This record gives sequence, structure tokens and C-alpha cells, in this order.
Amino acid sequence: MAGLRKILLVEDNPELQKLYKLYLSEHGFEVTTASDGEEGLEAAKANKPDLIFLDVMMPKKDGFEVLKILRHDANYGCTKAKIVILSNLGDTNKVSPEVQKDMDGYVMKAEIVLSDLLEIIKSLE
Amino acid sequence: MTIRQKSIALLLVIGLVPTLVVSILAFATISTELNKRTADQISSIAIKQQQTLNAMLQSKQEEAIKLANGIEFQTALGNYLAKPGQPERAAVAAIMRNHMSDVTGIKSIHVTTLDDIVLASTQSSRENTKLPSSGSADDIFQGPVISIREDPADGLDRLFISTRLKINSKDTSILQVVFRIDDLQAAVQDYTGLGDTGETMVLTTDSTGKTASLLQLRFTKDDIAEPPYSLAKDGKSYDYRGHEVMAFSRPLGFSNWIIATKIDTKEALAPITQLRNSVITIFIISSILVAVIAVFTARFFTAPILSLARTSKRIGEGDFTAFSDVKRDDEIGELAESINAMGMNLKSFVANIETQRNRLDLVINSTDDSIIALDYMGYVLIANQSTANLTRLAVHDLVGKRITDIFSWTRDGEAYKINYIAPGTNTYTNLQYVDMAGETHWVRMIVARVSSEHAQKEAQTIITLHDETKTRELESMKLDFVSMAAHELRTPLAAIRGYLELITFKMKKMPDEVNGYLAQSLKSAGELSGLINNLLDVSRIERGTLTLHMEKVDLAESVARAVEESNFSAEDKRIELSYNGPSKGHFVAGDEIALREVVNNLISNAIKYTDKGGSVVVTFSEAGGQISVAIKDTGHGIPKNAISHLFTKFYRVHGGLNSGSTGTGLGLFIAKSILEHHDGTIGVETKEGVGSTFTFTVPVLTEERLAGLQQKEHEGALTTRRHRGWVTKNTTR
Repeated sequence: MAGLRKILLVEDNPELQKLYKLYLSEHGFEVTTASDGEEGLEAAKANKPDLIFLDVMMPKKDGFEVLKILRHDANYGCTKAKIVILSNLGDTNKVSPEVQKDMDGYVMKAEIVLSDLLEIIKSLE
Repeated sequence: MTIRQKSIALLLVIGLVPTLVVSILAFATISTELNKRTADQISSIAIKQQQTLNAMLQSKQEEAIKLANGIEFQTALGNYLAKPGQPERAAVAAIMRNHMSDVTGIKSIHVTTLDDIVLASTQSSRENTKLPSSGSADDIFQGPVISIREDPADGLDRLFISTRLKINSKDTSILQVVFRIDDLQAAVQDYTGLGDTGETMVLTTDSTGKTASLLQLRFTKDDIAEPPYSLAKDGKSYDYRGHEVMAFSRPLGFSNWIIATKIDTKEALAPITQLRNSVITIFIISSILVAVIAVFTARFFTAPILSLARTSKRIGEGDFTAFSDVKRDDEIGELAESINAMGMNLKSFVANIETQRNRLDLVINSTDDSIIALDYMGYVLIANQSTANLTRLAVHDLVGKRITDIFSWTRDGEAYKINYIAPGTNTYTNLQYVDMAGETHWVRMIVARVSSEHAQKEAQTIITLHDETKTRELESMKLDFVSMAAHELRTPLAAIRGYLELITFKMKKMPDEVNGYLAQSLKSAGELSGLINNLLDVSRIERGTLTLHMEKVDLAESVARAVEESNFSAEDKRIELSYNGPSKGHFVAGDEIALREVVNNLISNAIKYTDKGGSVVVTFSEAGGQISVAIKDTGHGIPKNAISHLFTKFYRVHGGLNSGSTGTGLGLFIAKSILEHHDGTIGVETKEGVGSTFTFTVPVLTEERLAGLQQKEHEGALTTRRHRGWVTKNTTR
């Protein structure tokens, strides 16, 4: 787990946010959280995380918007960070080619078990 | 040619031909007869004239001979010849004067020498003068010579009868009796029977053959050099100075005289000309009469026919009030009655049809569905009000248009061409149609054929369009709701599962009892997740957004593994689960996860509906390019009335919630949809109380099939299904 120590978790559901933070912290990751898109952007700028878990359906700015800004706006210092989309929609949602290009991974929250988070991180290193 | 023209022509032929024949025959007969009669007439006139003249000349000659043979005259002349003195001459002259006074018509009497020198005369002034020659003495010695010559005494024509006088056995003198020719002239100039142009001529031919007229002619005194009347025989016609004449001649008994009658043919045949003109006139008049009769007769027969034709035409044009007033007791009358009856029948027939049509109009216009009738060329014959509403066009604008000019349908995004001439039973198609206002309608189209055995051209097509747009909107809202509800359920569920996992993860040393509860909670959460996934799958299927990732799949391996994975739950229920088939090596083009879901679903259903101690047998086989997988159980079986609903969504065989069995009734519906995406099929054989066999088929893999199915995949669709919920760019799983 050499590179990806600092994780930003942008998730508006407090239970899931808490759960993932708990689980990831338990496994030695440095996790910061944000509860909406704008908060997420600020946190990203402040913390310069290695990996960002980004919920899609959030207040203020949705995940895809945030993804686009982080990936293309150098001000946030995250153009090189790994960004994984957290979604509830699964394959019913057509993911646009831009999003596919910008993201590094895609997760169906309802379909995974907690240990999958570790596998996802591992696969991105 | 109309009947009228034909009958006129026929009547003209019938009426005129006999008239013409009779006229020509009559004309010919009369003409011949008249010709003959004219010839006979002038011939008889010639003969009569011949007799008259002969008799007159005969008596004159006899008078001359009587004088010449008189003793007294011969004695006196003998005395004079012997002694030619005045007293002797006077004696001869006196006898001659006596004779002259006895016989009428004598102008003068002379005795001449053979050289025509007058010896004695009733006219003393003529003595010793020379008379015109009465011919050679030789001729006279043969008998009296008769000639008509100019009398030198006064220059008038006279008849000279020269007779030989043989006195004292000496032929030295000739008696010349000169007659006036008035009587001859009068006789000849009797033109009775010769009309206005005919005449009689007394002619003589001299030794050179020249013909001369002896008596005055009726019209001309000219000598007639030609033609030789002597040759005019049998009343034949010939040309005479520019006139066609008919002539007839007879020789007189004296000298070489000829009596001839001639008549102008034109005049002679005038009756024939008149007759001919009459015949022509009669013919023309009768022609006109016949023509008039023909026209009237034709009218008599054709006028009612024409009237009937007009009535029929009006009926044919839809005027059923047309009525023929032709009243006759013949066939035409019958025809008229038939036509009137036909008109009346048609009227009630059409009224009947109109009633039915109105009823039909009412029916087709009172439905919300668009109903369109097309002819075999695809032109609209009938369109109802709903069609007008759907297309935003007026009904009368629709009728007569081509169906393809009115609608442009699409199906699954591609232009759809209606096949309205395809024979056979009704076809059902779901289509989209964008109206003029740009509004999309979802329509269900039913094409029905009204076929005609006789002619393709009579065939019609009835198209019914059921506008499902509103239904679909409602359906869509329902699906949206289901989808949204499912998604909303997923987040807390994910949290529940996550915390349960966290507990399991963190509290490693817990009593077994607690571990069991945790496992049960996780299992229930997993079932709930599966249920939510099913609901989402249904909404995807319904929206047509079910996305499968097509690749080469070893179906044998998938089935074998699914059986293996189900062993645990089968054992749990004490059901014997067996697999009868290969463990790998049979490939199809498909979505492995989806196909596994189908197999799992069928096996778990079989286990679910089979009682303890029963068996479930899974059989795998390949034949004819199809792989079929049969899942046979010894379960409850399915009631017959349920079979047809089995593969529809939300259907559960045993209905109510208290039936004891679990399930959403979505599994078979999803299985069927997934198989349809693979061009596969699913079916069931079942017997209540004995068991059921579900069999599904999928076509064997070919490169084309795989390529074709992959083509259908939605671009940009990302499936996490096959990666158990997540995927990253670095993943090579």
C-alpha cells in the first residue's frame, strides 16, 4: 500500500460515510470526509488526497461535476489523484465516455462487501 | 354504329332495293317496247305512203298511156307527122286539150321529138321549144318514164310522164304529160304519226349513187346527199346532221324512187326519257319515304331503348330516383319494368348499406383507436376520427393519401416500413410515431388483411393503431417509482450490510449464538439486496435498458458450477440434486452473469417447490445448433391455468402471501427476458402433484452470433454486474 495513504471520502449518506471511514481507518488509511460536492472540492484542495471516493448523487454538486473539476482544474491539485465513483445506479446509468476517461474506478455501493474496498485500493496501486 | 343507325340502314336496303329493281326492269321493258313500236309506226307510215304514192302515180301513168294509145290521137298525130302543117298540129293539140280537161291535175301535154323538141303542145307557145330531157329514149322505149323536173314554162317542179309513141311503126316521137305535183306533195306532207320532227321524203338515186329529194321536205329543201336512206332498214337509228334519227324506207314502183320516213330519236323516245325521269323521281320519292319510315320505325324501337339506357345510366350514377316511363306491352316494356324494379331494389339496398355504413362509421369513430383501411396499393380508403386526432390532419385529407405519406413509424429507433400486402393473419407491432407537432406517440399497430380470393386488387388492409403513449407514460412513472424506491432502499441496505460486516470483522471473539444471528442478518440483507436487484432488472427490462455484456461463455461450466453452488441448499432441504451433463466445453455467446442468474433461479425455484425427499435433475444437452438445459423436479407441479401467466412479471402460482412459499414472481420473467436477449427460449412441462421440467435453450456459439450480439450492446454502458459490484481501470479480473 505504498502510494495511496490519504483518502478523501465524499459521501452524503452519513451512515455509509461513517462506515467506510471506520473500515478504512481501521486498515490504516488516513481518511477525510466531505458530505456534498462543494465540500468535497474544498477538502480535495486542502488535503491533496491520493485517492478520492466520490459519490454521484449529492447535494450542491454531483459527483460527475466534481470529477470533471478535479481532473481538469489544477488549482485543486488533484489532476493526478485516483478517483473512484461511488454509485447507487449501477449499470442502468449510462456512464458517459468523458466520465469513463476521467475516473479510475466505479463502485456499486449496494453490491460490494466492505473488504472489496481494500481490493479496489489494491487494484489501483 | 348504334342500333338506330343499323335499323335505318337495314330498312333502307329492304325498302329501296325492290323499288330499284322494279324500276330498272320496267324501264328496260318499256324502253324496248317503245323502241319497237316507234320503228313499227314509222315503218307502217312508210308503207302507207308507198301505197298512196304508187296508186297516184299509177293512175297518172294510166292516163298518159290512155292518151298515147287513143286511136283518135294516133290518127291525128299520124296526119301531122305525115303532113306537118298548122291545121294538123292544131288537131293534135285539140285532142290533147280535151284529154287535159278530162283528167285533173294535168298542167300541160306535149309531143316531142326524140330530141325533146316540142312538135305539138296544149300550150301553143311551147311549140318548137326544147323540153327538159326526160331520159334517154332507150329508157322510154322500155316503158313510161316518170320524173319530176322543173317546168320551163313557169319554173315550178312538175311530174313528167314520158311515153313512147309508135306511129306508123316509127318511133319518132314521145308523149310528155306534165302533171302538177300538189296532190303528191299533199300526200307526202301528211306527217300524221311522225310527231313534230318526223318527215316523209321521196328520193331518187342517180347513176352516181347520189340521192336527191324529189318532193319538198318538211324542214329543208336541201338535196340530201347523205345518208343513203335506201340503206335505212328496220328502223335503226343513225346520225343525221347532228341529230340521232330513226328512219325507214320503201321502194316505189316507179323509176328508182324511194319513199322514206324518218323521225328524230329524241322525240320518238321522248316518252322513254319521261318514263326514265318518272322512274327516277319515283325512286327518289320512295327513297325519301322509306328513309322517313325507316327513321320513324327505328325511333319507335330505339327511342324507348335510349330512354331506358339513360335511366340505367342515372341509376348507375347513383340516382336511384331515376324511373323509366316507357310503357309498352312488348319486350322493351318488360325491360323497362325490370330496370325500374332494379332501381327500386338498389335504392333499398343502398339505403340498407348506408345504414350499415353509418353504423360502422359510428363504431369506428367512437373508438379511441385509429382505424385505417387501405387498398392494395397502400392508399387510404377509410380513416376514422381518432386517426385524424392522432395525425392532426382532417379525415378528408387522409383519405386517398398513401399510408407511407401520412405516417413515418420507427421501431427501436429504426424506420419501420409497414407491410400492408403481406397475406396471413393479424400482425402486432409496437411502433413510435412522431406527429406534426413533434410529439412522440407509442402505438401498437395491428395489421389485418381483408383478403380476396379472386383478385389481389380487391384486397384491403385494416390498420388499427392503439395509442399507448399515456399508458406508457403511466408505466414509465411506475417504473421510475420502482427504480427510485429500489435505489433509495439500497443505500440504507448497503449501510446495514456494511455495519453487519464491520461487527463480524471487529468482534472476532463472540459467542456462536451471536455469530449465527449475524450470519442470518447478513443472509437476509443479501436476499433483500437480491430482491431489490430483481426489481431494478424488471424496470430495466421494461424500459429496454437491460444491458448485457456479450462474450464467449462456457455454458456447460456455468451450469455445472450453478448446480454445485446449490448443493448446499438442496442438502439443507434433503433434496437430491444431480447434474447430468458435461462439466465444460460447450460455448454460447452470452452474458455469463446473466445466464448464471437464469440457471440459479431455475434451480432454486425447483428446490423451493419440491418437498423434502424429492429430487431435482439438471440435464445438459446439445443438438441441432441449440444447447438445452432441463431442470426437472418432483415438486408440486403447476396448475394448467397458471402456465400461460408463468413468465409474466409479478405472477406467483400460489398467489397470496400466506401460501408459505417466498418469491417476488419476478425470477421467471427476468429469466425469459435474459434468454430472449440471447435468442434463446424457455418453456415448461408440468403435471400437478408430479413435478415440472423447465427447459431453456440458447444457440451454440458462432463468431457471427457473437459479433451480432456485441453490436447490440449499448455503447458506453458500464456493467458492474459481472464484477460483483465494482470495476477499476487497473482491474484485469
